[in-house]
Amino acid sequence: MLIASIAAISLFALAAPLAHGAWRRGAGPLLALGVGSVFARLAWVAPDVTAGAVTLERFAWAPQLGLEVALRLDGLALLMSLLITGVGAVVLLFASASLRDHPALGRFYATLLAFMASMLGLVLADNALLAFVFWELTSITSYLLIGLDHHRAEARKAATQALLTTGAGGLALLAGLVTLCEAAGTYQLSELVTRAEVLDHPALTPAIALILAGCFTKSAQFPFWAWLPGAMEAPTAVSAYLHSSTMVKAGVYLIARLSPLLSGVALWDSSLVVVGAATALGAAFVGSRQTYFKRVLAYSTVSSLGTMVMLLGLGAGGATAAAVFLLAHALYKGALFLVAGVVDHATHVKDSERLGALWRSLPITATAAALAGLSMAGVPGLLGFAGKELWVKESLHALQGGWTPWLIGAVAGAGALNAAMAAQVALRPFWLAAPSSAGAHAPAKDPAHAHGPAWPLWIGPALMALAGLIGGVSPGLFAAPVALAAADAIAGLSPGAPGAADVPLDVGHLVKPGPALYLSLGAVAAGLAVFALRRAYRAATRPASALDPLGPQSAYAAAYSGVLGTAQAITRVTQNGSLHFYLRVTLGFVSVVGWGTLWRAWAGASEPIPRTPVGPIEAALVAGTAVSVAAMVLLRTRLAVIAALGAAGYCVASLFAVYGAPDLAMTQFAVETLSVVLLVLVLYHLPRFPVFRLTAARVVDAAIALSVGALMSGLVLLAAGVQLAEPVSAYFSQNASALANGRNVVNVIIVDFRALDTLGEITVLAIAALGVLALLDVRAERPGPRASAPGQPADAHPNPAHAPADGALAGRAPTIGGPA
Amino acid sequence: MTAALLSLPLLIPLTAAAACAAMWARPRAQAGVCLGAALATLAASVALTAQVLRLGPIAAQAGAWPAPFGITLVADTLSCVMLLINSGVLAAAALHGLGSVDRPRASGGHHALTLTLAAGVSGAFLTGDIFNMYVWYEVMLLSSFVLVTLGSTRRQLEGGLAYLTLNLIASGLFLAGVGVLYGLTGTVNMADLALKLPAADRPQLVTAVGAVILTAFAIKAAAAPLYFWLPASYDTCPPVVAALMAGVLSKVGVYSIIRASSLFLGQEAAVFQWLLALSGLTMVLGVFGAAVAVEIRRVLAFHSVSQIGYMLMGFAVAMLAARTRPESQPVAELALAGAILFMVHHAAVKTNLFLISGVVLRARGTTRLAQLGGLCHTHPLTAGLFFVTAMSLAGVPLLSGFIAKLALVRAGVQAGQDAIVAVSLFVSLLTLYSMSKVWDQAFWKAPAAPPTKRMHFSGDPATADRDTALMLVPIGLLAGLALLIGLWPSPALDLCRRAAQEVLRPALYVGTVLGQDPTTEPAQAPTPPEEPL
Repeated sequence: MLIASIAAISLFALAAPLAHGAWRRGAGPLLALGVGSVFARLAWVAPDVTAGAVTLERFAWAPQLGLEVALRLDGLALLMSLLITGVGAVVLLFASASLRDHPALGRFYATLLAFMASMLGLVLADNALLAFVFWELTSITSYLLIGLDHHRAEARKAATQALLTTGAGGLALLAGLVTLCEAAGTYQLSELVTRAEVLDHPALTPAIALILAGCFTKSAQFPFWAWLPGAMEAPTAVSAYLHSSTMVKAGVYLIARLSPLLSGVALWDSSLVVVGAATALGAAFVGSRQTYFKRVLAYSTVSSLGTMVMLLGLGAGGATAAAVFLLAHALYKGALFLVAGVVDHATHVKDSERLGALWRSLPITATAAALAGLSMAGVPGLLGFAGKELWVKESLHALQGGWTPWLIGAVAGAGALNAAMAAQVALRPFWLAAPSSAGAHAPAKDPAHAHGPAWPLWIGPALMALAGLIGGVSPGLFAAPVALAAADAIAGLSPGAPGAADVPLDVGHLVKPGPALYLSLGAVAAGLAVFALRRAYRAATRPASALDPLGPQSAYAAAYSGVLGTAQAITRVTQNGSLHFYLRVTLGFVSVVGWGTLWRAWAGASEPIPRTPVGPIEAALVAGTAVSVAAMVLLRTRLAVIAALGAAGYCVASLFAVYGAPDLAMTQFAVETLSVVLLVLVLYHLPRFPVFRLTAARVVDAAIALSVGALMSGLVLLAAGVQLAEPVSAYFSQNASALANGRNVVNVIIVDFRALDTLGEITVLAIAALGVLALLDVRAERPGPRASAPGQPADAHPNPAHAPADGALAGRAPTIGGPA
Repeated sequence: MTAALLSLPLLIPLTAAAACAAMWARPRAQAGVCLGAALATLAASVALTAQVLRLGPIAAQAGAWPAPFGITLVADTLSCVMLLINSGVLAAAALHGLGSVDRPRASGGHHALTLTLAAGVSGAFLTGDIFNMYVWYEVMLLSSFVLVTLGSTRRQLEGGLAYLTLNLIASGLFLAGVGVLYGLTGTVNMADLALKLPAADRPQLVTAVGAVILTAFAIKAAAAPLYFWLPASYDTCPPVVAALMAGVLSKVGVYSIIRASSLFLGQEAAVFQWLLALSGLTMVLGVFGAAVAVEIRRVLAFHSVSQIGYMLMGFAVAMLAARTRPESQPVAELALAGAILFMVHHAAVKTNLFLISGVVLRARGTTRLAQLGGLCHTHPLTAGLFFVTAMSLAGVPLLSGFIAKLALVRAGVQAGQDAIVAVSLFVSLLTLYSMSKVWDQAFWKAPAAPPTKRMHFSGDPATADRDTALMLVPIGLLAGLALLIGLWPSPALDLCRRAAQEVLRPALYVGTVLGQDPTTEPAQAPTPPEEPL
């Protein structure tokens, strides 16, 4: 069933463009129906899962790498997969209407469904590497989704930022998971969380740091949250799905998944609490100063994610609170994002301050917004209240456990500012009067813009808001079992076991006089006060924007430009286009490595250097070679240098002849001749020699050259005195005549013993000949040099194969050649 | 039979090259010969691989002169994998070339040189003789140099000059090293060297010679800090040539490093420590260049450098694990299998990206990112294939790059080489960045200029669409291969693991070549040749 669910959604993804092509308007609802059926299938087994049944499915993938398609449905996976498919179906429906005229709707469906399948795979995966596979796929698919409107530079930039931030985190996560799993000796997550012995492993600390880096980037924690508000460049449907209910919860999910093992480790708990609380408060503060719908919602989402992360650091009670909060948040935030989408669709206004009294034109949406807003603010009677109440309770509980009072401050502050944000998006545009100031948009008076939304638009927010209401009024119906089963999974317990979560979520139980209730109601009141006095509040907090250069966006920008700036600086030095520099580095490297090793070998060698007599002809040839080489270095004309090079080659070839290898010598003569011809052809058209007037540069060059030359001499001298084994050459002289019927041993070696070498060398000669022919031929075929302007960029036609046939190939001569 | 099979991947392209030379005036026919030879080479390589998987490593003595006196051709699983890479890339380039190589270029000998290049590469992968390997290196070098400079634009000649100069230094070092090696041991047969050098027990001397030879290989492989020739030349030549070179040429260097240092040059573990350090430097410097490059082919060229680092990393981790702790054999196998799989993956993916850059160049007349844009509207199929291939290069799951990366990361962590794993993951992020940059600039953003400027080429404009379609065939196949390896990695992993096992047990190779293994063909007596090549 689990693999079938993922496969079904993947299949929908593949079929989506076809479906869109075939049915247009009908495709969206049809796909939503398909996803809805997967939701229904999961909901069908939900009672079993909440009762403690765990479904396992395993298929081999790449056992060599520990990669296995192992899927597991427990309480936590159930909660997440119901959200993914349930919200997913609603969002598909919404998108089918809101993006009706988008040119890439078919591709959008496909990408969204691919994302959904990846997300589902992530929460169902029981193999750490499989989870990572899906994790990365959510990053890639969300990159495509955020950049859906890719003609806009902002959308592309936001997509890249999301990709890089979550991509960096993903790689850290990979390292962390592999480290942890190698230490534990298993890649199976359900097995891993039982291996308590890994807690004493030295690799635990880096593993935790790396895994948290992955989770914090994905779930937009401080200081990595900047990508999430940026990702609001995406269409609202994408924001509602990715950035409220699913993708950003992936990090929270993985933290929860590893909690049974790592909860209780000081580094883990304290990181979660500190980072989570900082995120909850910091993002709530930034968000409370915004007025644009989606920006407010984005920062409140970041704040809520911080809350969940913080709660996961607070032990088993925190796990329960986190699970309830996660469910409540997904419902109200999903609803509010879609509400923002409806408002945008109806009025084309994105600023909540410029809207008012929308309840008249959008009654259902306004009701849904009100319910979701109340849930977000944490008003009793809605699921959000339960989440917030447990959050406050656990934080107070933690206070007794030793966490300092600032935690309570952060919780209260974040709660109050979230209530203010809830009022900003749910109250202000719908239920307060339209602003009278100039430029304000009053949709009620301008019915042309405020058209009533189609049902696929409002049904989503309505359903999710209703679910939040039902969850609050009658938690036993679905909210409590699902959330508590998830809490048990987070705590590593099976439902019904001693210690399993058994927190009543209904209002009657939660509304009990006590510090928790006072604090939470006080936060709501404070939030409303902030909202009422929002102009003064924004003015008073304006100085805080001075902190922006220290904020997450600046951190991202600094990291981005820092890495690329370093890369630029280094590349400018290393690949600077100067062959002279390349030669220096290459030969310098040879010299250093060669001498570094040769020195040791000399030190360890005891053999003397052999001395052999040198005849006059040999001496003359060596002298000729030396003179030619010296001429090569000293001469200034290119052709003369090539000639000197050829002379040196001829001297060496003559040495072969002197030592009884005329065949070899002949080959060498031929190769030398061809080389000279080729070199003349190639070099003729290059600029004149640069003359290195700097003596220092010439000294360095000479030192490197002499060092490499001396290295070669040293190696040869060493080798000449050392004989490590019996040479095979005796075989050649013994068998040349007897077996190969040849009396000249060298000839026999060339044409028989080592005929394959000769075949290769003949090929080299043939290629050289072809090369000369081709270089001449391709030029000769062209009608005279084309008149190209001297200033023309050399790479105007970077590819001659595709350049105009009528002269581009010859077009180089006038611009670059010049007299040699 | 074995001897024939062993020699086919070498002889088919060589014979076909001669045929092309004979048909000098008929470039169209040459293209056909080239494609036919490429497919035949691929088939021969597959057959040889099947044989090796069935029988184990096989060897044949050229001219039936017994090893170590004659030249041995030997194929173990590693050689077979490399031959598959070579013939696969050759086939893709030949197919692409049907559409992308125009008449002036074809009549300049493009097809013949492509085939001699492939023959040289095959020879290097098959030979069991280090001097013979040098000969094949020369065949490769000269073929590729002429391929790079064919057309003789200024940039090509500049790039070609850097390419030739630096590679000639490599050749010189290689030859000098082989000469010294022969002077020391009196043999150039690699299996024989693997017997005699350890027996002499002079590890410091071997390392001194090895430093020269391995430096030569490192230049060929484009490892840091010796990679300058690669970015200087790959973006100046036609994409199909760059595809050929990026697909196989630098891997010959990696293969040679693996072969020579696992058999006889790597007697001291310090060699592999240095290699590991250089692999990290290679990855970082390469990816830095790619991250800031503003031209597609330059991005790809720098990535080729960077990815060579991953291959060397896998090999160095494997050798260090195998040398320092005998019980960590499985770790060494995984690391080396990862490195070999990385070569397969990189050959498919980088070849493909260069081929795609050819389509872009054909469509827009430039591969500069600033002047591109809107390709995902005008060329949706190319865009899709690019995205899949680019994500594979970046190591995204469900694609080949992820499998290779995962193998290296797991082995690295198991071997305790945390530093290099961290470097490789950082480089992976920048790879993702530079691929998304290309996607963003060339495919996503609105066109910089109206895409009316279609590049002219000598063919009939009416055949332009047909040519582009021909170019897309190999691109689709290679993207499919990246997806196939990603989705169903087990066969490729098993193949690479087997190759790694054989490399880590040199005795098998030595026995095969020197005839101490029962599976070797009994064609080694110094009596008249039984199976002449």
